[in-house]
Amino acid sequence: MPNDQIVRILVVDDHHTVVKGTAAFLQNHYSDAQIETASTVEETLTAFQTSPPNLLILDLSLPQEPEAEARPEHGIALLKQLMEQYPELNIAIQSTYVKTLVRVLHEIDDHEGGFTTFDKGLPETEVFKRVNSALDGFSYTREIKGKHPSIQLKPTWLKVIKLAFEEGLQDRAIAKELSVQESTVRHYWKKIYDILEIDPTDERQDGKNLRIRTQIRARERGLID
Amino acid sequence: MANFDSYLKQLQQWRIGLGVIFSITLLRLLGISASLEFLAFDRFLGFLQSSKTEPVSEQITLVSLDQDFLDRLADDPGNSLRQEKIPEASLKELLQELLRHEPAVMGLDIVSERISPTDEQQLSQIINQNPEIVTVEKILSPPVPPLKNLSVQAQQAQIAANDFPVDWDGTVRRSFLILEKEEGFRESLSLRLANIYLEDQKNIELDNGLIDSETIRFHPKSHDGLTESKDIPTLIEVPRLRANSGAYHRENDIYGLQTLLNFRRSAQDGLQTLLHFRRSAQESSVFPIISASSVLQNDVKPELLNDRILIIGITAPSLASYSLTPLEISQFSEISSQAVGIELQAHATSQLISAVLDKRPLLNSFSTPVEYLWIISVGLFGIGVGRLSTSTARNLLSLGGMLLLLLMIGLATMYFWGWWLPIAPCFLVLSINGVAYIAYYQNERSWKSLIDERDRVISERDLALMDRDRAMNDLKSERSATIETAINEIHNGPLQTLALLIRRSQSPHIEAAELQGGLQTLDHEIRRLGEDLSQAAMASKISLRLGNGQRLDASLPLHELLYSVFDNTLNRNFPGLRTLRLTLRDFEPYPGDLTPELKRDIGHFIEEAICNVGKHAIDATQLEALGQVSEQSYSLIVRDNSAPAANHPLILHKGKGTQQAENLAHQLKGNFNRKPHRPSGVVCELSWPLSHS
Repeated sequence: MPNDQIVRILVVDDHHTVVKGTAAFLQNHYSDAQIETASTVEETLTAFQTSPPNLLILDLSLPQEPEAEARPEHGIALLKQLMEQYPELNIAIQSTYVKTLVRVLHEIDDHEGGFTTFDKGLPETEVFKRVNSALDGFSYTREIKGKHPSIQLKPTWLKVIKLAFEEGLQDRAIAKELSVQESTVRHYWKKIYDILEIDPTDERQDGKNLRIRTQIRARERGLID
Repeated sequence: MANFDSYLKQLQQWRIGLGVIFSITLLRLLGISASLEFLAFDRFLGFLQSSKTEPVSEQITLVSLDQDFLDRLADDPGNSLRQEKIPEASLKELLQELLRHEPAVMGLDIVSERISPTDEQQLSQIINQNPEIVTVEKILSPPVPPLKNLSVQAQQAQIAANDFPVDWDGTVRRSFLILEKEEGFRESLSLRLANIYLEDQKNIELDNGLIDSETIRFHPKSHDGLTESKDIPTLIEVPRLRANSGAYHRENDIYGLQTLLNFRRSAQDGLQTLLHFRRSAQESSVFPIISASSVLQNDVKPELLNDRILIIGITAPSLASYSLTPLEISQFSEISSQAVGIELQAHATSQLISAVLDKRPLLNSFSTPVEYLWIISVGLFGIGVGRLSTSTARNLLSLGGMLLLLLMIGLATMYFWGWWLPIAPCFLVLSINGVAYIAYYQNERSWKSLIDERDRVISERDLALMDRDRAMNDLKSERSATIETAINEIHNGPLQTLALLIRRSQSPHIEAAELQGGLQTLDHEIRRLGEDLSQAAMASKISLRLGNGQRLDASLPLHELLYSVFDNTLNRNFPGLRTLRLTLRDFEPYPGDLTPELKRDIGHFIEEAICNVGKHAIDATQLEALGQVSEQSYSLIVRDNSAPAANHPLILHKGKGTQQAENLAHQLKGNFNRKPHRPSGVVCELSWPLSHS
């Protein structure tokens, strides 16, 4: 969590009560943070014009402009636009339509910033965890996909796991092997934690080594021998 | 079993034809078809008669006691001739005059009734002295006894029967060879004459038949007299007319030994007969005729008498008896189909001699079973005619051809070999069955085309119903989707506003303006909702409907559509999908445009491919579903690591899905293939060039 400057959080929801409630809840947890709100697509884009926030908390059901009808499609279109423009933007989706995100999975997979989702009905502590994860650049996307128990991932991520745990390569070597930036590999790891259902914050608090934990989990789930 | 059924069906189809054959056979057995058969026989004989000539007979001469002769007898005052009888003296004089010319044999075809006897027994004397003279008796009712006062030898060798069997229609078509008498047998005059002539002049003997022991045959005399007669080759065996032969079913007088009459043909053909004066033409066209008067006046050519068979009889209309003949053969009668006795005798004698000397065919008929076999097989042919072609006109033409052929065969066999086929009943069954079955199959064909048409209409209707059902299902799911949207939107819109208002209204500080503003918002939201819902109901978008009922908007970018399809399908309850532990999926954005229809079909392709894994993969733990962009093309790959199955159903057989995939590949100008994946599993790939847009 960046400490050197003021954290800006933008809460987007078309319902004033929700916006107000969420803002109050965030202010409570991040006393130093600057909480901004928006209730339409237009307002959100305006808020981005100066500079992107550190965290975007987005409801998918949004109207294009004030008084217009709120639709999940508008929210998704906005999300796609923002992810494309700001690949490192941390995003937390607060919605009852989380599953509709399945069609933008490719963009979410490729998104380098934090990306978490949470249902509006979750208890506060859980909501805070998701928001915090997003702010830390981690991912929590498992609720987007269906209930199929298999591990779903991109072929590249499997390659990263194999290079790391079967061939014992460091991130730099992996980056070289895959012809990508080292930062990209680090971003891959965050995605891998997500699909292996490892909560980096919890693990760290429990004093466990994240990579070793990942290796164990990957072996448990049959990703490596 | 199927064979038996089709056989039974065939039999059912044929039952009319078999019925016709059976009926005609029955008619024939009962003799009802006889007149028709006689008609055919007579026409055939007539046709043959006019088609080929025969030279005037060189063996037989007719000596006619004509009206002129009788009139002269009556004018002679010293003669005791009564109108109906001929005096013995004049006959004796005639015979003596004829004997002078040394004929081979003479047949005196005048029954004793017609001869007025004298005390001197002049006639019997001359007969007793000359064994080459044969007299007659009539055996059939009313019988006429032979001349009296004949010697024992003459009684045995010089009396023959002059009867002819008459058919039920009064026509003479056959002749006797031998007749039964109360005591023993009597040869017919014709056989007697032929026998004596052949034996004396040609050294040919009469004997019992070899093939048919009940008939007679002619063969050369053995030179040494020692050779067994059965070892001597037959010249001719005279075909015996059996009861039931040919059309003779109703006749109960096929007794003795009879044969059919193959009348001697005229020396002049039909055209010549027409051109010449008929009477004179006939007079010498078959058998030479000499009148008794000219014999007595010695005004005759000796070569017409010497070494010949002379048949002497009354031809004068006042005394002659006439018989109907199937042909116009008479050389004496005004009505040429009525022959006098000596003419019948001449024809009967002539056909025997010509058969022996010239191999002229005698008329014969097949045995009864062979005849019925003919009728039945021709009847079966008739059933088959309707199947020759699908054109009724052509079938009728074929039938006509077959009938003509039947007649030709009938004529040819009669002409060359003398065989008389049951042409009439054959003609009947062939034409009836032919026409019936041409009509039957025509009918069946039109029925079949009607049924085909009906089936086509039914299947079209079924297709239409299926389309309607699908449309209704689509409508239903669309409706439920609309309702769902409506509920969601009510929940997220007005209800939220309402909840807020309720909470605010509990506060004591609520202001009327705020409340009013809230209510206005609520009003606005509800109105908007109504408009949107009706708009959504109107919108007709191309959508991709998945197997789990989910509908996707086909206008979405391809990769978004594919992620949705993949997620929806993976979560369906298929056995092959439950074992999966790892799924690799990555659908790269498609760098181009595709029509919603194509995107929908591509979506269905991925769904189908994953469903196939779900249905057919055994123990697959890993599934890859990739959409990859290369420089030139986009490829979709679905790969599993199922247990190697050599007989994987989808690799062996092309199902409907495979066909659709191939069609899709064709539309995209790309390729589709499905093959085993090494080391295990199946890979299914659809790729198409990016230039397609």
